[in-house]
Amino acid sequence: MYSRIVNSTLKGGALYYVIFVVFVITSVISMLLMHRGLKIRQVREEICYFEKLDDLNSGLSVYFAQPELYQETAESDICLFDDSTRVVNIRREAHGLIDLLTATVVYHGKPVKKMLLTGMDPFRGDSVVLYVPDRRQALYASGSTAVNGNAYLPAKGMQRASIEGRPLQRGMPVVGRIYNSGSTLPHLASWILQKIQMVQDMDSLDLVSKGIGQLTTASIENPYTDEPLWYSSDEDYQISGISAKGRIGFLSRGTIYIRSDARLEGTVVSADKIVVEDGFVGIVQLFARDSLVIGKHCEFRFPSVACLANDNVNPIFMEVGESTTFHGTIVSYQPNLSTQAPFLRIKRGVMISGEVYHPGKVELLGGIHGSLYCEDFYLKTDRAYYENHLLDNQIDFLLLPPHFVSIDLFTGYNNQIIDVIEIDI
Amino acid sequence: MTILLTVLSVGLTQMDRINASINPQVLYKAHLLTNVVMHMDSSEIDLISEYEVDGYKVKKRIERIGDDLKLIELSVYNGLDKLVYTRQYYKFCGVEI
Repeated sequence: MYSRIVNSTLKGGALYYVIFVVFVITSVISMLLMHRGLKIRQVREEICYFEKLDDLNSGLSVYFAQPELYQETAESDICLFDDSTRVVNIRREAHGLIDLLTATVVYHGKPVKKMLLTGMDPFRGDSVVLYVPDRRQALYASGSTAVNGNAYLPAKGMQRASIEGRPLQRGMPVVGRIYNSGSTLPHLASWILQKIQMVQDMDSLDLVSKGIGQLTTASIENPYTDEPLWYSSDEDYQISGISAKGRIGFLSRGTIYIRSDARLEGTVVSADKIVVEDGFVGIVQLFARDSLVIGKHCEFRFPSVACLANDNVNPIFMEVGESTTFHGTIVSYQPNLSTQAPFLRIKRGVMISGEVYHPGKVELLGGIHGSLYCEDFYLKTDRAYYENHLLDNQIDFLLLPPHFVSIDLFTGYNNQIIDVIEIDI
Repeated sequence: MTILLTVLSVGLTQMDRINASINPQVLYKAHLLTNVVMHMDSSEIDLISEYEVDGYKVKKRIERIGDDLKLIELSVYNGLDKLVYTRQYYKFCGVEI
């Protein structure tokens, strides 16, 4: 009897022991399988995320390859690899004359973005060092004048000359291909005109602009990912002693004076008249209606813009002061010409790296590394005035910095990156 | 129970080898290999170049889509010549994005 009891107790104990061991083993196996499942899921999520980043870059690649397909709308969906699950949204916004491109993909319901400041690669396609429309006039080159690159000139060409006792030093004034120019300058693209109008039309910005009086801090920063921040005034004012960085604009119906102690980076300034003090350094896009005067020894860093545009017939005027360096784009626009053509004076010692489009008269005393489009030249010396004479000028497309990204004034296309603003992941 | 565990683990290992896509390490490694190969010298257009890296075979195919656009496809195969991972992307010739 006793042995039977002991025997059944032992069997019962063994059974419990087995159940316990099976429970432990099952738990361990379950945890291992669960861990493995989670690991697989985690890696798949990571791979999926990397795929989304690939899609962002692929979408931008497709856009840059044929930007003309996406010019009509500000926002486009690009379907990749004929796969409807791999779609990239590309949105284009203007910041002055420069385009902001935002590519967005959706990852688990959340947007993953890449934002770029874009422009045009000046080294792809036709490069132009000088374009002067054919008005049956000849151009003349004297002194150390050198034009290097492809030039569109009047049929009479650019001829050797000697003024102020300075005969042309080199054999040919133009080194590069020479083409016959048309009777007018190439027209600015409608996209460019729209951008200029958008910045200059204060009424369209009134809803979102703040009075300049609300600017109380010495330092303001507004990232490109945010909506633009505009400060406006109906009167003259000066930008002085402040630091402004990012998507910020200053507007006035009068004159804006930019003092040399202002630190502007990426800022847009729009007014009837703009005056920049000597010694200013910054990255800024200037849009003036009547006149734009840049002082001496300024440094406009890439990508800066100086734009003079006016729909009326009053004479418009731009001046770049002595020994100023300007990296970017200078453009003028006046469809209804007054008795006086728009005038651009580039003073001695000025170096412009970029492009100059001026449908008017240019007094060129400095040099240009890049392209110049203008109607004609004007030169004043102590002794005389000269029309269409170049004296000691260097206009050289080949010296345009290799990193330079221009603004495509004639088609409005983007196929080059100025800067990667933000990758929002 | 020990036998059961052994069979299960061996089974899982073999399944990983046969169907590598469920092995997270293999999948992750395959992705890293494509990162390496995507920066290697490209083959000629429309030809497939093969690279051997760490016992895996990576095939790179480049297809020209337009003047400035290429479609690049990277396929990773394991030691059993089984396709582990495929990666596709477009590349613009004008600028590194």
